[in-house]
Amino acid sequence: MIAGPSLLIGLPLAMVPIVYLLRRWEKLAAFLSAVTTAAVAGLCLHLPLDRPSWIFGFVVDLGRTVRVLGREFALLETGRLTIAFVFGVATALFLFARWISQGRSFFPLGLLILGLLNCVILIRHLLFSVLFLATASIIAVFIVQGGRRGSAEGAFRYLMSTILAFPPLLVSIWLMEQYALNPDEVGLIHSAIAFLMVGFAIFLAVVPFHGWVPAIAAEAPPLVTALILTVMQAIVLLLMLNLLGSHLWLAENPRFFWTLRVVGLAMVVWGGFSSPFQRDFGHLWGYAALNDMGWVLASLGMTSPSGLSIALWQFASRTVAMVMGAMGLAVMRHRARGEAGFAQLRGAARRLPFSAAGLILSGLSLAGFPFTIGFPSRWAAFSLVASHVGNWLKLGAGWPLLLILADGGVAAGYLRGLNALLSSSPDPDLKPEPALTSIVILSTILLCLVLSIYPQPLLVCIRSAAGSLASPSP
Amino acid sequence: MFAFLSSFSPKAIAVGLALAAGIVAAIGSWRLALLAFLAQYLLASLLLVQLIGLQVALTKALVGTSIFFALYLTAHQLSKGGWERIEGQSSPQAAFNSAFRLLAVLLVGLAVPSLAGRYPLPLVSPEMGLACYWLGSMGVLAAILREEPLRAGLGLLSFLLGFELFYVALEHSLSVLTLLGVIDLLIGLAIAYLALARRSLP
Repeated sequence: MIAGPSLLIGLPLAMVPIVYLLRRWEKLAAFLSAVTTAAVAGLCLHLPLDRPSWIFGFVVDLGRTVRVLGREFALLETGRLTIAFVFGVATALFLFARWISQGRSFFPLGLLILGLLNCVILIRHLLFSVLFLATASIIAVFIVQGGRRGSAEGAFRYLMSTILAFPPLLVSIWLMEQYALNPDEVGLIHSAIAFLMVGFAIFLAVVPFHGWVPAIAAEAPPLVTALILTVMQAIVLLLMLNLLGSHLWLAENPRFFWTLRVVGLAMVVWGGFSSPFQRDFGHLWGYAALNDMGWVLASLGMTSPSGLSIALWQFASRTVAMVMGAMGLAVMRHRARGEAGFAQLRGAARRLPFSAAGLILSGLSLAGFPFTIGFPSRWAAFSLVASHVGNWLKLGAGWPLLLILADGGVAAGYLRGLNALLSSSPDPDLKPEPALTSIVILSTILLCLVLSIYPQPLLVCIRSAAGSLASPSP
Repeated sequence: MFAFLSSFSPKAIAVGLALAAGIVAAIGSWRLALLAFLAQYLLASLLLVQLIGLQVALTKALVGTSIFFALYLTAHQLSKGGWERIEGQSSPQAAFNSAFRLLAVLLVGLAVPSLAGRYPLPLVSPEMGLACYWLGSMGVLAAILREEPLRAGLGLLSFLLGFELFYVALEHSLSVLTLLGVIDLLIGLAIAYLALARRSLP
């Protein structure tokens, strides 16, 4: 009998050396990687947790616990949905990377990172989750650089953020363990929360620790950026939510949620007002992602029953938008010899219409523009935040305008970019986009448009995920 | 051998660590900085012999030595390509930069003892706590003051070493310490990779 955790961790890790040896044949490596991730996602979605199943002649018990060196690995419902989500996103990214190379190491190291992220999700000890997350993040530095010669600023900033983020989390976990042994020492909780907030703030790129996001968005291969800003940040959020679910004193601490609201709104404003001043799609994308993550954190900090669902909805919309944007930007940079500046891409929409459409629509989705996939969740988040935070912050009636202006800033940045893409004549050396990538991007655009008008299929998944997560409340 | 290694005074080791960390942060010469970095790990291993035992201390020394060799080979390869000229280390401005870094080290060094006194680290001696704060502060300072990944990376590794010296007192699990060692090695490799990737900048 094969235990679920062994299969979910072992399968991607087992494929790493095979894909590494085949990395020169990128199409084959992409295919194998995508099949692996699709298989893992499919197993998580279709196999039951409460009884064994037959798969190709093998008995697989997804819900079985595995012990390694005294540590337990077990798959719970929350983990099942998260792994399905993570590996589903990875499948889309690997498939697209078949046409637009993201570096030869993307596939083997991507699988290695995903295997480690499964360790983060499955291990029943928070300390090891943090250590595995740190390991995965450091390995991601190699694919962020992606074999590029030249500036290493983005990759180094990401490395620096990881190195500064995980020590506070380790100290916080120790403090929590001490509090469990000495419940009278209330000071331990305050210190634990402080270290926890610092660690998560750096991992989630909360202002002022946000510098690495625009840096990697500008320099890293776009699909790698999407992997880090969706998949890896999803794991960080999951860690935070698991902490809230397993430590009642944290879930009942109003200061923690107050901080989430403040930092979330700060990110919304900072990301939004920085966006119109950017002059290349990479940095613009990074600030738009910051603005969007701010909404996720602010929604999470609202502590209402709907806050968690709205935060998850926001994150799901963000993921689809970012994958679409990554595809568009990947094609444009590939055709423009690595350039993503407005000046270098003048008129590029005439040669690369679908990529340009995907990129611009992605940005407008992140801004919560109407008739984009980001609008329904943004409207829900805005309604929730505007109706509660005004009383709490004792601000005047007009303060929600600040948030609208911030999102408007992101939209303005992308509209400036659209103006550049549509203006004058394109570079004559700019080749048209590949037909297959156009079809994929067009399909993604249509999916986003459908989900913007009819988000119900997404909401079914969101409700299921929210139900399995502990709802945080003070 | 254990008795010999345990005979070194923790205070003397802490002073040595502080000196090595200051050299990593302030000195322009990459050779001296790397040697100081190696000295940090060896001195930290001597401290660990007294704290948790020979096995873990030897592992830490091995990790540090491996990282040292990886970074030394990287720096050697970079220097063949005129890295020191590119980074301005052979220019007249280099003296100014070194003086600025030295001043920054002194300023931060003045603040560290009061920080260590105000927020003493639990479960470690005052000397060890001061050494941890010093390593962490100098490491972050070195990472901030340097643009180039190799030199900034030495700072990050110093910061991490300072944290690990403290964390070893909190967590004795071998599996945790092993994972931390793996993380250190990966960081060393990442720094070497980024330093080589950057070398073709004009």
